[in-house]
Amino acid sequence: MSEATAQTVKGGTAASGVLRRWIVYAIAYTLLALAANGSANIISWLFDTDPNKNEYTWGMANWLAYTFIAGPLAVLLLWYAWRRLDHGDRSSYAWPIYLSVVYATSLVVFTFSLFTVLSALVTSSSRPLDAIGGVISWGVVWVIHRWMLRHKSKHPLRLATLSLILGFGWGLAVAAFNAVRVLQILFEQAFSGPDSWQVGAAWWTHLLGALIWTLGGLVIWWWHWHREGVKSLRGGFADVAILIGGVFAAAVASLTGIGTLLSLGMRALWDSRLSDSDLVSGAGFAISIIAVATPIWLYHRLAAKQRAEETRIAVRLIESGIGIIGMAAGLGVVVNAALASITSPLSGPSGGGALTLLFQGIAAMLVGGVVWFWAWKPHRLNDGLGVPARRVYLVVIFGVSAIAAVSALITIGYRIFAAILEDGGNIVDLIRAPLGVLIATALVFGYHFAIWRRDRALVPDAEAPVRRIGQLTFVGHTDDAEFAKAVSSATGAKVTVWHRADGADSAATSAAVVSALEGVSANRVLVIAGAKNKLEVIALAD
Amino acid sequence: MNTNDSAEQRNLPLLITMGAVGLLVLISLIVIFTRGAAPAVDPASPEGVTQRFAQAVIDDDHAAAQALLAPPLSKECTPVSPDVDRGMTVSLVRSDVNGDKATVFVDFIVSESGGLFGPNDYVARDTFNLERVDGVWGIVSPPWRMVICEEMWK
Repeated sequence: MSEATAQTVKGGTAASGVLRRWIVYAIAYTLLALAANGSANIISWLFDTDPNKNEYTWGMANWLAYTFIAGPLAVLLLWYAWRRLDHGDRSSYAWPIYLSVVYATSLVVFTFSLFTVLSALVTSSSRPLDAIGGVISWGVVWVIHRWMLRHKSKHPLRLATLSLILGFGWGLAVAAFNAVRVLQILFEQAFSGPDSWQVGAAWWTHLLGALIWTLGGLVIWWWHWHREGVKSLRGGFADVAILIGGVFAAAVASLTGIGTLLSLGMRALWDSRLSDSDLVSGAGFAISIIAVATPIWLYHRLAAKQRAEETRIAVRLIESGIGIIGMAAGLGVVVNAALASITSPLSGPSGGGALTLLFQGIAAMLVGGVVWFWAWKPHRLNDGLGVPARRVYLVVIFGVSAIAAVSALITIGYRIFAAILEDGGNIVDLIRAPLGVLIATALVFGYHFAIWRRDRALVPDAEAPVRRIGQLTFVGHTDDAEFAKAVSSATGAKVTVWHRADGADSAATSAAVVSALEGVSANRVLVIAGAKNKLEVIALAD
Repeated sequence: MNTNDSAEQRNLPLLITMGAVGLLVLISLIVIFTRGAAPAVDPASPEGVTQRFAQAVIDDDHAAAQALLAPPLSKECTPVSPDVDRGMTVSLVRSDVNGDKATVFVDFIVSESGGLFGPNDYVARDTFNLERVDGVWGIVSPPWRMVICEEMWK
């Protein structure tokens, strides 16, 4: 068989190769998960200190089957897939996605079990080793897949960092969630501590348990962020993870905490119904969230600011979006509460709910307003003029607020008609909530729509790349993985790459192809890279 | 040099926040460690009886716990396992004494696995009902977590 035919045959099986990969990895994942789960349960059972454990064997048949049937099959299949792993597998999507899913699952179960065991040891729980099986089985799975992920000649060529980014997100979430618990327990103890007896576990055992989880989360975070280098990844999933987890989620948590604290403060001053213990425990919780989420937010916005221009703009737009939503929600609630005060006075016995609502609305308006003003800078509107992300932001905000306004309007109509037909209730009471939403969203819509119109008038639509070429087929050789994307974004064409069997001499760069296409306009174009990198451009008849 | 300075300046809000958090933690620790011990309760009072009972149940000492029940449970009791864990904390909130009847409010502080990113802590308020029989306070009905006799379910 000549080399050329061998290449043809290989090309012909490409589609079935894709299918084979997905099926093999799906089966491997299922078998692996079953085996790890089964063996984890058996190990936990072996470590169980319960003297009657021989009676508790109701899962045992399953676990044995998972371990001793699925286990060896998983090992065999993985061994086979690993031995056969070639360039096609490495540059496929199936291999990195398999690795990421297993990496994330095993890391989560392994660390979750580990921290459960460690914190159970300090809290002197009756069965501290309940989760030891998960530590051992899933720990082994994690170590093996971490090794595969970093293997010198078999690591995936695409999405290689997805696993690490998932690990970073998990570590951050565990650390943040449990740090809030630590602070909450500490503040609770310091400021509304018991004035009398406590029996059972001392309060600090709860704190110590939460502290172990926090430190564990920090270690996972640190390992992925610094050691595995997520910190220095640029673009793609890394930026998205930082924006969603580090900026958006942390900012929402921090601002919600600040707003809650503010509304509690107002209630403490002007609402005698708030009991001291509610004030202290509410404030303790809010301060714990602020104390954890704010540093996370500030840290990641710094990290994001050192990235690409679009990421920096995204930070600003995310923050201004959170601000405007907070402000609008607050305004809606204030209108609602103000109308409620018409029907029943705020200081009256039934006014407590409305008064709380009013303070919450004012707090949300204040916090949202400050953040929005600071991020959006309404007094310097021309700062981000013409940036594509700004246009998307404006359209999203006015689109969403228009939908919300229309829904509120329909709700108001429905309630009024229902009240007329069924003759029930006070109209103001029935429509005050949707009316608040309507007023707030209408204002948000009006403002952003006006800005959008103004932007369009000042900066006419950026010239979209004129699509001179519909379909482009490139025949030749290229080493550039981004080749098709680069040519496509420069010409607007749909690009197909056919590799020549007699490859090496006919290499082409995307820049060379784009410049060769200068002035060419046709529905279908064929580009052939010939010997000595000469490019031949052929426009095809329709 | 210049870039270094501006990087430090941008770090300032982060440093201030971290400093404020550290200060809060420090103040809390000082408050906790300088606070005197809670005053002891009279072991014969409703609070004292509840304290000894809760301790006995958590220590799995059925006989000691049964001795603190009001008659007839203190004599006849078919033991059942209470739903307590050594990692649980029981904390006295307050008590209402009304003649020969008393209600003692306690908080159960439990860290329970099941959260998405770790255990959840929760505080559950519950009540002990006590009665004074022949001058001795005894427990009539404990919270469901501390039920130690089958008869209490009836």
